[in-house]
Amino acid sequence: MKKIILITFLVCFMFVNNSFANTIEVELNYGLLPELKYDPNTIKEIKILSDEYVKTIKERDNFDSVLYYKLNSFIKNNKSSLNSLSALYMIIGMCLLDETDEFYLLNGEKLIDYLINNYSKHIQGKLAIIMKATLLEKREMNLEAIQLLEKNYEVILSIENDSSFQPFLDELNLKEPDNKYMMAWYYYYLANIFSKLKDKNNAVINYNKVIKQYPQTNFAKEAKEKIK
Amino acid sequence: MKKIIFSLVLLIAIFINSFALAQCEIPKHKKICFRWLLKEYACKIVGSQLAAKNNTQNYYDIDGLRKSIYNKVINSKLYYIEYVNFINENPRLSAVYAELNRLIQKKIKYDALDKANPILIKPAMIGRNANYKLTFNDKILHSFSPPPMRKDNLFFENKEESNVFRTTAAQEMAYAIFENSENWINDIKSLQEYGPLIVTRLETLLTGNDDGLDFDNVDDLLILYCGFKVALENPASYSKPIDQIHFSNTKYIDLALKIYERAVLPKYKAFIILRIISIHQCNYPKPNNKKALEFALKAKNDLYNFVDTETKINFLYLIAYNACCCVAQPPSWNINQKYYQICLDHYTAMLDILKPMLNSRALSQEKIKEFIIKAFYDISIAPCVGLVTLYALSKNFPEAIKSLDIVISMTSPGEDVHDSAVKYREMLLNYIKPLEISDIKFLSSNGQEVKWGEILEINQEYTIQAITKVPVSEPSIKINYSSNYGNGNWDLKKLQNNDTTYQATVKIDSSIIGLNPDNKWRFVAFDYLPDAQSNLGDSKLFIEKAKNQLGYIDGGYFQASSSGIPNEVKEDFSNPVLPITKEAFVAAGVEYLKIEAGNIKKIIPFKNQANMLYYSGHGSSSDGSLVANVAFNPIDIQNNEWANLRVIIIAGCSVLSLDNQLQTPGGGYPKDPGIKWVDLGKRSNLKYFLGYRKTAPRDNQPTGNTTVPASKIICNNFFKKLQDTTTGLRMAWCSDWMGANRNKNGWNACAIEVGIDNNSTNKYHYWIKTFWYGVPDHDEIIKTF
Repeated sequence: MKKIILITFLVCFMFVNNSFANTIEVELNYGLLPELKYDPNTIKEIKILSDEYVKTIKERDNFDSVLYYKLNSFIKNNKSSLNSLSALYMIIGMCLLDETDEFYLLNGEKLIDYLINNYSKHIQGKLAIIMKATLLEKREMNLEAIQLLEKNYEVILSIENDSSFQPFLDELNLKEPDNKYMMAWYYYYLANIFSKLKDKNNAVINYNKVIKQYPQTNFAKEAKEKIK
Repeated sequence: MKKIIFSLVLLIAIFINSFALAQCEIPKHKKICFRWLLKEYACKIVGSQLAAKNNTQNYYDIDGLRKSIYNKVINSKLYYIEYVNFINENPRLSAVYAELNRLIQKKIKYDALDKANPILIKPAMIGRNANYKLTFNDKILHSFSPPPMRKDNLFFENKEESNVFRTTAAQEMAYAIFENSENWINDIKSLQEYGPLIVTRLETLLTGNDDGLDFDNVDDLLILYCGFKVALENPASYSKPIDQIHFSNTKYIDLALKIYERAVLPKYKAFIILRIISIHQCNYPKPNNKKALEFALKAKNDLYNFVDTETKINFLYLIAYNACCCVAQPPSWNINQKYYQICLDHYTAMLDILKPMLNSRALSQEKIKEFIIKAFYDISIAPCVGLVTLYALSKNFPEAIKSLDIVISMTSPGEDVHDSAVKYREMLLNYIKPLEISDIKFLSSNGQEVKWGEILEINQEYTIQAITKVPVSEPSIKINYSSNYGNGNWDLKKLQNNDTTYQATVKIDSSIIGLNPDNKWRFVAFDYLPDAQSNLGDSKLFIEKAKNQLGYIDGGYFQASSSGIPNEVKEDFSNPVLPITKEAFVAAGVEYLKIEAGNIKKIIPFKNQANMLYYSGHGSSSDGSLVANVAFNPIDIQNNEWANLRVIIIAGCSVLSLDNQLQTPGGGYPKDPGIKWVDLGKRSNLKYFLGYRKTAPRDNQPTGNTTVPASKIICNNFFKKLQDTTTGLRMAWCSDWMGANRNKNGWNACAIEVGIDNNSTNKYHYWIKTFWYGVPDHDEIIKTF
């Protein structure tokens, strides 16, 4: 009888241990320097990593620990490089995948705040606001998401004119043409949230902004369908 | 001086008398024995009257004692003197020896009249001149005879015991008449000689002002009177004794009524009419209660204000009693309202007098109790009468039971009236029990009983049968029905040659099924359990939310299962669950007709299409069928067959996919099963199709951070969003469905909104994965087609 209990205990222990083994610790403090510099030597490496990242978020819905270790290693080895912010951005993106545990979401949120608070002038810090809004919306905190987006209107408006915006898109291999119309995304996204909140008027106003100001985009096309 | 001489003479007389008696005394021990005998007699008389009225053994002893004393006193002057002395020494006991005195006096008197024993002509107790020669008149007027002892003479509680045997002058006259009639009217000659005189004396007594006669005296005198009248009218009918001459009741009543009319004392009038009532009540072979009632009412009318309380109560009782006997007669037993009201009024009046007397001393408590019990439940005659009978005859069983409860509370177990009341109460309780129905059958027009799962059409005739547990006499019974908004009852008639089956043919139409005065939406739910991964949680949640959150009306819950997983299909009055059939899909909603009869309930589903249908189960990506225990395809629905349905929610895989036709990203099924549903939408009023274009979340699909399965989370989200819809806006069925699925379990959700006509465009909602600025997200896409 004792043997059976012991075996059962061991099996349970292994099972629990195994489940813990699936979740890895996301590092929150990399000790990046306050002033980061453009480092051409790391461009190639970060492009390889970003290709892998884009593939990962398209093909899978959960946290990719292998990619994480690579990104983690990259950051640790390049604490003064601006590209480390891009690597950090990619780690956050993986934390926001559908099938990730709440644990990753929490850590992702902390890293988002880290970017917003410490590197707000950098493109990664500015885009972290979008990440934050997405995170809030995932949690059905739609009002908070709208408040965040409205509060940071000027910041997001400045992204399109930010000289590092296009290099960042290139760096992350984000090739969709609509990517360059940041404000189209902004209005479309706001409209979607208003729509979720049953605020039909504001939803229509924002969809119409997309349609009128960015008619050439897919956002405008979708907006048209939604207000039909 | 005269006084002194008188006293002296008296003393001498006493002395001489004492001396003479002293000469021949009873031996002391015999004297003691005799006195002991007298005491024993007194004790037994008093004891029997007070405590043992029905003790025959006591009376046997008393008779023996009386004979013994009588013989001693009659045969021995010494014992007679001792007897007189004993009574004089114990004046309180004098009444006890009344009967003995009567016997002794009778003997003395006869002896005196016969001059057989002149010594006793002047007994100490009477004091009459021994030398006086009595005439017949004297014999009638002065003969003395105390009344016989009566067991029921203790009726009036306030009457002192010592008065019990006291005779009045009228009574003495009456007894004299009796005795002399008995002793002197020995033939027709003496009848004709003395009869008229006796008749006159009788009439004088009965119609005079002397109220010293009691009921028995008057009763006896009336009989004697009638005997003399009949004998004098027809001397040939004479027989001895005169008071036993035969005459008819009619003759008696005729003569008695004449005396009644002449009588001046209300008391005697009451006695006479009570006897007449009694004769009618006891009429052989059949009591004449109507006649008795007539005289009782006359008595009340003539005498009520002039008689004592007891007589008043007697009048009321007799009226109520005789009316009760007339209330209902066989074979119809129909209630005669006139007699019913007379009976009820007089029993009530009787109780109104009696109840306040319960704690008074106006009448003995025993007598009051007896009258009250009689008013409620009189078992002294058969069939019993009283308020209980009255109420029972009028089928007012609750009141009859209340009356019996009063009787039971006033009596003790073991008493006949108590035990009878208890039994009768049980019997009445059975009567007021609701009719026990053992089964209700609902038959369709072909005579077949409708089975659970069949969905019936309205505007058709159906037959309802109610079968009772035991044969009952009622010609018809009522059964109640109700639907969502209608209710009423049907009168089922008893079938001929069948004591237990009642039947009615009814048309179930739109006045019963389909009423919706508030224009509320109705919903129907289907849940199929194909495997161990399935459960009923989502459909139950859907029903609960639709009912309680949106206020929609339940249009039926259908279930089926395979692989031995139990479902809840049952004909349950409160929570009915129907089996999934193809007909059920076509009907797409029911309204239950609920029938109740006694303790049996029946629930029958009638087709009443809902506005919203929820299906949880398998879906076929190849042809768009809903694959439950039966396969249901949109093409199974004829044009306009789904006229009421507006929204269908298919919590099953794939069937709404249009991905191939619309070239939407993320699709995987080439056959576009959603086309059939869109086609159905075009030829029906169904406009919103909410479901999945690929795999749907399983019933028990875990959600990672919560124990609530995905299907339930989606259901909860959906109703929350529907409820959040701004008042006045059209329900955003598609976007709310998509929003409800905006989580990792619901990205396969899709929704189709079909245009109102063939020229209108349709919309296809689905989710796509987005990566704007490298941030993974999903966007709801709407494609118009």
